[in-house]
Amino acid sequence: MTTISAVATVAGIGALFVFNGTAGLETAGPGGWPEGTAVERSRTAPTVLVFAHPFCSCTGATLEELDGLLAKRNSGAQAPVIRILFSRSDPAWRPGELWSRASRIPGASPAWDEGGKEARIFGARTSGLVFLYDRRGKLLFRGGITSSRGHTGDSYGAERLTAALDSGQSAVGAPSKVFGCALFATSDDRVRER
Amino acid sequence: MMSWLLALEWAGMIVIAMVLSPRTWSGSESHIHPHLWAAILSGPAFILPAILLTVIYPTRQLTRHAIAVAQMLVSALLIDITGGRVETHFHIFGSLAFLAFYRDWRVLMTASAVIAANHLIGGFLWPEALYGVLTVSPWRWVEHAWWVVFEDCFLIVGGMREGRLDWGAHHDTLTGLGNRLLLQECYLALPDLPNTKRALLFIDLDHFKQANDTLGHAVGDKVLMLVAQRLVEAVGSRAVLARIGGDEFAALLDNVAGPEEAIKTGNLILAALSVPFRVDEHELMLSASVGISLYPDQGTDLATLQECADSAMYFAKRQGRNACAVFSAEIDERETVLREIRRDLYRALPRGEFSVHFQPVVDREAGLAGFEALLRWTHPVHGRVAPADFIPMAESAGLIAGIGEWVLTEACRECRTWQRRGHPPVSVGVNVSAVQFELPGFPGRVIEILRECDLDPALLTLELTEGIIVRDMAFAAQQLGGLRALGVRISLDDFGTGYSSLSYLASLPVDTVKLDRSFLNRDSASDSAIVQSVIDLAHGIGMRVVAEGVETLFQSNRLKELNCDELQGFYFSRAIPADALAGYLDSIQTDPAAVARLVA
Repeated sequence: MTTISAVATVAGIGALFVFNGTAGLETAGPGGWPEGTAVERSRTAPTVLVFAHPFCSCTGATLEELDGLLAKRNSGAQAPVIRILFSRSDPAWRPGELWSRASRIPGASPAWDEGGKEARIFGARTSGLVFLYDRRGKLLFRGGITSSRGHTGDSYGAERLTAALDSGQSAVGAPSKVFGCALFATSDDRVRER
Repeated sequence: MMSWLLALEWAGMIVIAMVLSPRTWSGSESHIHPHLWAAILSGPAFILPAILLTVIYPTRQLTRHAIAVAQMLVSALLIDITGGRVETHFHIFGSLAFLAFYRDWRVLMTASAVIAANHLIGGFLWPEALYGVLTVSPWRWVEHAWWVVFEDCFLIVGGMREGRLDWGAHHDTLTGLGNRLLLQECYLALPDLPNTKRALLFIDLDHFKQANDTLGHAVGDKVLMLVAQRLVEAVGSRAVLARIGGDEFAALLDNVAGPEEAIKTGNLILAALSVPFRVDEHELMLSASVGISLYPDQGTDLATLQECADSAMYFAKRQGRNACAVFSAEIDERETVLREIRRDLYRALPRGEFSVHFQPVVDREAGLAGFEALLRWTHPVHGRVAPADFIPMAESAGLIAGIGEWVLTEACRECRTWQRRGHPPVSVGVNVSAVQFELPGFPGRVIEILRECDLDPALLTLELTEGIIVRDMAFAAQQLGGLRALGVRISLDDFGTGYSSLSYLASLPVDTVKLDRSFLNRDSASDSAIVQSVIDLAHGIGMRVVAEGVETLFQSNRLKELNCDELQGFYFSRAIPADALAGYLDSIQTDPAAVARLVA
């Protein structure tokens, strides 16, 4: 019994670690503010753009981190404009807990991204992907800001985003991974392709 | 209790997972979230095994380790589900929880090992997930390791301090043996397995109180320490030993084959205690009485086993001490009766349940010399109770002085009544207990009673044992001198069974020596020689000799040949109730043949 229990426990914990630590799929996106997008970019302040799945519990950690790092910034620093786009694959979906959480971030405006149209334009595939553009539309940061799925706390991505916000320069180093649910199902892609 | 807590944790974890992260999404498709699967499967993986162990082997060390593993993993999983970082804090809280539950360092080590494995494996595969931003500080893990080590050290040091206090709460500080609490906890910690037998041995030192009173408490304490040492040497390797009272010890034996093994252990204890104890300049001989009860035959809870072992121990004492007795239905019945008798003894005197009977004492030449007053108790339920059973109880209950005074008063009153009815004056002997004799106003009280009853002091004989006199010779001489000055006669009872010191016999104002009945029951030449010597010696210093327990014509004739002055026993008459005594006296007075029979 002890052996079976130990094997099952180790296997379960391993599987959970794998799930938590597996980053979402990402594709290369445009280096600047893309053409054809309906998302409004601020001309006077940096714009933070977050793509999220409306029911992805892992993305709660991304919003938590974003709220936290913005709150910790120097009060004299220029506040960015925050756009949080929830991909709506089903027209019947209504705002839920994540929407409310997003609404509570100062300066943030949650909005629906019908059919994930904007996400495709920006090349976003995973909930929790964060973009930072300067007021001229230059991409300063692109990536996730949590260290694993659904977990808050110090992370490489959050540090890079903070540095980019503070300096107004492009974030240095390798892009940070995005931990969250997929914004599109394979079937969604097949429907779109038809 | 613990199984319920674990089950609740499992249920709680599933509910939390269902609320916080029920499903994981890919666009419009969704699946059950791995968190929910993990919460559900944690049951069969590690919570249910722990629950089963708490039910089957609630007290085993393995169970504690299983609970420790389950608790640590549940904590880790809960933090994962609720979105926290799998960090050191849950280990700390977990450790504290285990200390609070068990105060067991081995279990704490298991908990730490689980956390270490969790941190090392997880940290190796996904360092950022566990330790934060390693790119900023690659030594961040040191902080976590430090907390784990610091916390464990802190708990261990604090726990050791607490452990010392805990030791004091569970042990007898004089002997170092366990106390009642330890015995109780050890008993509860034993697994409840089928076909297991256990034995509880109650060990009570015989006559320790006298040694303690005589030699002082300092010596008594040293004796107790030596007794504890011998118990440890004799049976310490296989029994839980505890001191549960002044001179009472207990040994709890697990896995005994049967009563024979328990008796063997009891005899080992008796043998260990039979070797003389040397304390300072004193050498003491001690013995003990051991009562044994068996689990599960006589009970499954410690309180019942203690009660049974206690009864068996008292039975062993009544059988002559220095013996083992295993509890049985017969002992239970007898001890139950004795307990009731002990309880009812307090009400016996006010309820008039006592009576005084009188056994004739015969002068070998003149016939009836007098009577010895003997106390009898007729219990309303159990009938006639033997004096050997209830008089020690009355002594230990502190009732003996009151009862003794009542007997003295009744005997004097009866004696005076016989005279008033016209019978020739005969003496009456009354036994005096040590407690009664040592009362400072005892001689004065005797005078009062004699006056109240209007009895000639010369007709009263007070009978004392040797033991009473040798306890404090000076005091005894003073008391006896006071009584003798009144004209009261003094008789030394049970002579030959105790100290039999001939030196004090000559120095004390004693009129009569009563030979113990044990000399008559044996028909040996040496016993006859002793009887002859005592009679000659007593006569030599002007004392008379009374022989007790004369039951046959042969004994009577033999004692007369040896010049014994007075005889007493069933051969002449049993003790006669007071209301039947008038008839007896009449027959002696009016029937010369009856007198002839007495002196024949």
